[in-house]
This record gives sequence, structure tokens and C-alpha cells, in this order.
Amino acid sequence: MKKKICKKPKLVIFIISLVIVLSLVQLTISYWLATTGEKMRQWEEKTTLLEQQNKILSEEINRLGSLARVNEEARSLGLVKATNVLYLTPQIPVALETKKLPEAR
Amino acid sequence: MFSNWRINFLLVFFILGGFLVIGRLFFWQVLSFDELTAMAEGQHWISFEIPAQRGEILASDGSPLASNEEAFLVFASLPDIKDDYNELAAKLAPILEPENVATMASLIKERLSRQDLVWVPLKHKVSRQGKSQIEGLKLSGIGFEEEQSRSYPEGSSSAQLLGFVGNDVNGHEKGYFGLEGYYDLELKGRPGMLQREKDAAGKPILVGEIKKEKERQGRTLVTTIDRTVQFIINEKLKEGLARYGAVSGTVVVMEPKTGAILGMASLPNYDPGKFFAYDKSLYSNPAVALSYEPGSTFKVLVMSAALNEEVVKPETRCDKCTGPRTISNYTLKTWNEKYFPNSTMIEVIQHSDNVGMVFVGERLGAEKMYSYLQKFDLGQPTGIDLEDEASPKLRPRNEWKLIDLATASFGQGIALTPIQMIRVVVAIANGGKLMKPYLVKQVISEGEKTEIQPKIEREVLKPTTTSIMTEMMVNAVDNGESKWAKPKGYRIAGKTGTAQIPVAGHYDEEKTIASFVGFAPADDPQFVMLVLLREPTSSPWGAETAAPLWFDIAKEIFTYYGIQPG
Repeated sequence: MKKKICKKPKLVIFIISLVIVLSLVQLTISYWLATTGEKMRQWEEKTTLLEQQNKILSEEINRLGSLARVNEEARSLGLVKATNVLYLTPQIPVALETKKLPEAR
Repeated sequence: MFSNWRINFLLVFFILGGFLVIGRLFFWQVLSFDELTAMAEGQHWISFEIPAQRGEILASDGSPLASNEEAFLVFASLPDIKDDYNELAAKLAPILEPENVATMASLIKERLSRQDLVWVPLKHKVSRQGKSQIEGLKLSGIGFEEEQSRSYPEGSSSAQLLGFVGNDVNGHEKGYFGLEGYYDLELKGRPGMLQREKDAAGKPILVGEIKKEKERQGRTLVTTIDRTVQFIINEKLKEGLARYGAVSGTVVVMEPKTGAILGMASLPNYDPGKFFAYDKSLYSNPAVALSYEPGSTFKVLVMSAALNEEVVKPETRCDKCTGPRTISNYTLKTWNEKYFPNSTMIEVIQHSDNVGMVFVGERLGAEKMYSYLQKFDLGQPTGIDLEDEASPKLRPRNEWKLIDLATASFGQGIALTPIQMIRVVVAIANGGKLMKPYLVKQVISEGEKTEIQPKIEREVLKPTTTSIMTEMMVNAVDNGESKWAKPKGYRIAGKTGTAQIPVAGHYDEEKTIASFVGFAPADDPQFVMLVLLREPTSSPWGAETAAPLWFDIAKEIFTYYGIQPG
């Protein structure tokens, strides 16, 4: 009879310890999941924001890069078209040395 | 005996019953399988369409000619609206339609009053600024859904070339005219589909199955258009129309070695972003759809054919050029009624001598003339990748009379399109190869690039013929009527043209189509250009209108390409 009483507390302690350990594990995992989920949400938000800003910037580049706008801007700054273009080409000499002459001895 | 009858009756009854059950099962499980599966899926799955982004159209340097901008659909959720409808319409209309506030306000009120709906769209393609303004009003029941709107950063400068994006009968986006129309399938991509399992109430089951069919984004087109050339020709054409008082005009620039279109502009044009605000007659591209009689520019084709067939030589003298010619009761004259007896073929082109060209046409003969028209693909589309290309039909050979051969020799009584005309001169500039004109040189699809190679249709002229013809055209520019406008120091091969416009069976005395077609530098052509002005009022002649405009544009292209004189 005594022996039976002695065995029960060990089992109870084991079960209670197991429950406590598993609860802690579950708590840790839940915490980890919750914080990772929140981090993911923040990253997703950041990605969406960056994508949107990227889109806005691309649209702005397209608008500002238009030749019609650049031309208008250049005119308003007082720039004018080159009307008299002068090409500087090297003059071809009258006689070209194509073969080395034999040296005089 | 009695009991056997009852058993047999039951047996037959059960057998028939069994057949009926089997038949019914066959009907439901085999014959109606597809229909029932579709019904079950419809009850079990909820589907969302994932829109595909329309592909961009880029210039040869990669800058966008047609792109996409973020836009929004403004909608109203009727049960959530707390404001008075009139008040709401008065607040929204000036933002949604500033140019037509009253109409927009009444449209909003009408849509908000719908008793049979809970969700109504108010306006598509609202800009980001518009959305911010509406958000600032803090209206309950007004929401936004993201969508795309087509933008054209270079505005109307390439309108007829690009076309525009509108809606088809089902309300789906569709490209019309130009590149948007021709490449609509490639540009629009394929929308994806997201399917989720739903419960009996129609709500998505969170742990349910998800089926996703990925969307395929529209393909991006890289064109051969040099946007600087495009800008130059558009600006210069604008100036030209004002200077020469022309009704309309077209300029096409092509690369002779490849047949690539470097620029193509027509005026008047329209804003492809607001196409609905313009007259529909402006939508089609005159460079590929306008049918006109080319006049004297066509002489280069007839003369090339005659030289190629060796029926004339540059030094051949015209022995019928002393005065007007009478053929089949028609009198044919020169444009200025000046005649040059015994002129050489070089001089015939230089003076743009109609009578001299009749002589060339007669030497060539109707059979050969017709075969060259066919060799140059006249009478059929060039195959350029633009939706609106049209081609006037070539009259059947058996209907050609003597007078037709005579008038066709100097470019009257025969119709073609500007793209067909420039293609003829491209063949002269590149040594006799008939090129297929094209606009798209690369198609980009999800990172994969497909190159489109230039295509030689056939060799139509011998290189010796094109060399002679080039010299004749250079002489025509240097000594012809338009020599005063030619940029100094450059060898340019070209030909002017002044064609009368046929109206109701006769030619209009006043109205003309003035044109100039040519290439430069003549010895190593970098570009071929056609300038066409309809009904110029300052002068009817191509030499005094289209030619100076051609030279004016060429000067800018020389500077841009760094082509030096000499």
C-alpha cells in the first residue's frame, strides 16, 4: 500500500512538468509567430510603399524626360538652336607619305 | 402457377426499375457531368481576376512612347453613404470632371439614386491627385479601386503612329489604330485568376484551397523610332504647315539598309490620351492610309525601270520632246510649258519633264511598266506593322490604255500611299533591294527578348541602275527648281513632285499635293525621307514648299547624326 502512494507523486510531478514545459514551448512559439508576423506585415507595407514610390518616380521620369518638355524648358532658359554648324575637319596635305623613302648614303 | 406469375412480375418490375435507375445515373454522372461540375465549382469557388499590365511601347533608345500610369476607379457603396446626394455630387463633380461639372453632377446623382444596386462606379481613370483631393473631403461610402491608365509622354507627336487604347463592346481595354491596334494581343497580356473555396454564405474559407493562375503581363515593344528624329520632323512639319499654308502634311523617315522607320509624323493629329475629344477622321495614319497620286516623284520609279531594262541610257536623247504630246485625244504638257528638245534622260529628270517621261514610258512599254509596278508591290499593302495600312488597287493590266501608260509615266492616274512611295526610293538608295518597312525591332516578354530582323522582299533593281539613278537624282537636286534651298556641301539625291488632286472625275485646277522624296548622303545613304504637303497655298509647287521643308529637316538630321558635308 505504501509503495503505491510513493509512485503517484512522481507521475503527477512528471505530468505537471510536461504541461509546464509544453505550455512554455507553445508560448514561445506563439510569441515568435506573432512577432514574425508583425515584422512580415511591416516589411510587406514597406515593400508596397517602395513599389508605389517607384511607380510615382517612373511616371515623373517619363513626364520630365519628354522631349517636348525638355525643348520648352530649354527655350524658357534662353537656349537657342545651333543654326550655323561648323565642322572642323583636318586638312588633307597635298602629298601624303605612304612609303618610307630609302635613306641617302 | 399463381405464385410464379407474381414472382416473374416482380422480377420484371425490378429489372425495369434497375434499368431506369442505371439510365438516370448515366444521365447525371456521364451526360451531365460537365454541366454539374461547373455548377458545383460555381457554388464552391469564388474567383477574382488579376489584371495584367499593358506592355509599354518604347523608342529605339528605350524611352517610353506609350506607358502606364496608376489611376483609380471611384465608386460609391450606397448603404454606407451618409451625405445628401446633391451635396455629394456638388463636391465630387468638380474633381471628377472639371470641364463638364454640371453633366458629371447629374450623372453622379442618377447613379446614387439607383435602388437596385449597392455598389456603383462613378468615374474610371481618376488620377492620383484626384484621388487625394477626394480623400481630403472625408466622404463616407466613397471608395477607390486601383487600375491603369495609358499615358503618352511625348504627347501627340506620334499620335497616328501609336494609336490609342479605348474600350471594346464588353468594356475591356483594346488598342485601336497604329501600333496599339496592330500589337493589341501582345500588349494586353493575359489576366490571371485567383480562386478560393467559399462557404455556404459565400465567404472565403481561410483554411480552404487556393488556386492561382498567374497573370501574364503585356509584352513590351521596342520600336525603331528615333525619338529625336520624331521630334524634329513633328516640329518642322508644324512650322512647314504654317509657312506654306497647307491643309495637312506627312513626313516619313526610313533607314535604307534595313527598312526601319526612324520617324513618321502627320498633322493635324490628336492627343492619344484624350482621343475621344477629337474628330474620328484624325485617327488613321495618312502615312500608310492616304491614297494619293504621286506626281513627279513617281518618275524615279519609271526611269529606274527603263534604265534597268536598258531601254534608255542616261545619255539617250528624247526625240519627241519638242512640244506637247497628243495621245488618245488628250494633250500632255510639261508643268511649266517649257520644252527641251533632244534633252538627255538626266535632263528629263532634272527638268521634271512630263513629255520626256512619256517618251521613257513608251520605250519601256505597258507590259514592262506593269511588271515593275508589281515588282515594287504597288497595289498591295507593304506589310508594315501598323493596323491602319491601306492600299489602293492597281488597275488590271487588260484595262490599261495608251493614255494610262503615258500619264502613269509622270505619276498621274496612278494612286499609292506615302509608305509605298518612300519604299520605292529606299530600294534606289540601298542598291535595289525592296525592303519590308517595319516599326518594332524587339519584343520583350517577361525578360525574354525576341529580335525582329529586317526583311528583304526581293531585288528589284540592279546596283548599276541604282547608281545611275542616284546620280540623276543628285543632279536634279543640284540643278533643279529647288536648288536654292539645298544645304551647301551635301550630296543629296531627291525628286520633287506636284500632283493634281482628282475630284469627281476631273483634276482640281487649284489644289495640289506637293511632295519631295530623297536620301542623303547620296554616296552612303543614312536616311530616306518623304515630305508631303496637301494643298499648300503659298505656292502649289513641290519645289517651293515640300523641297525646302525637306532640306530644312535634313539640316537638323545632319547635325543630330553628325553627318558632315563633303
